[in-house]
Amino acid sequence: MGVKFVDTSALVKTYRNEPDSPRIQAEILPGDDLIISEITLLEMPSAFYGLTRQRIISLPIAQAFISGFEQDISNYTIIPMSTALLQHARALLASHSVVDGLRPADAIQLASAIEANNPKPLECLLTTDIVLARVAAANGLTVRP
Amino acid sequence: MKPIRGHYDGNVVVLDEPAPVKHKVPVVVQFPDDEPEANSVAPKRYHWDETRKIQDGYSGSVSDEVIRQRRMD
Repeated sequence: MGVKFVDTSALVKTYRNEPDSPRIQAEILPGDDLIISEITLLEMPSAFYGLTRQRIISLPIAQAFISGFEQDISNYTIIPMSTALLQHARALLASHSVVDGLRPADAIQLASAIEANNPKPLECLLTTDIVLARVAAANGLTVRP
Repeated sequence: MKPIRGHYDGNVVVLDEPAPVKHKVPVVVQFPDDEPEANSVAPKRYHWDETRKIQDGYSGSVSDEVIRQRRMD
């Protein structure tokens, strides 16, 4: 059993079979303690609603995915977007926005993962976001896949 | 030594310990009602299997939509 932080970009692939889903699904083992950022509670439904706005998937389909996720929320350890966490995210943005392309949601995800990494190190951060992965690794986190 | 015996709620209670003295003494017993059993934690159940069966007709990546929304200016 491991403690893993799951970024929204990776978490989506546990709920839906799509490109790269097998790689993410293989990383999560029964009994793992899965940690997510509070912003994932917004990013996850927003992605499905976004595809509905673009007329790619229907609203009932989007709602079915969102409902599955929302029924699981109590299973995840959620890092709240506290004032201290947002201050840390601002500092990360100042360091990595211009050079590395870090954006606000990335910064919140990264600050959450760093908070979850202390005092006991995470086994890994799961993400498919290349920018987040690069900056997270530069900040000492183990990133997969 | 005899085992420790007492009464609780009309029943005889026998503790799995020999009596440390031969005369009657008061004993305080705390039953471990509130202690979780070692294997009582149910495994977490996720809805991944159910949602993976949803046929949405989209061959692209919702994960990419997450990232696209992050990168919007």
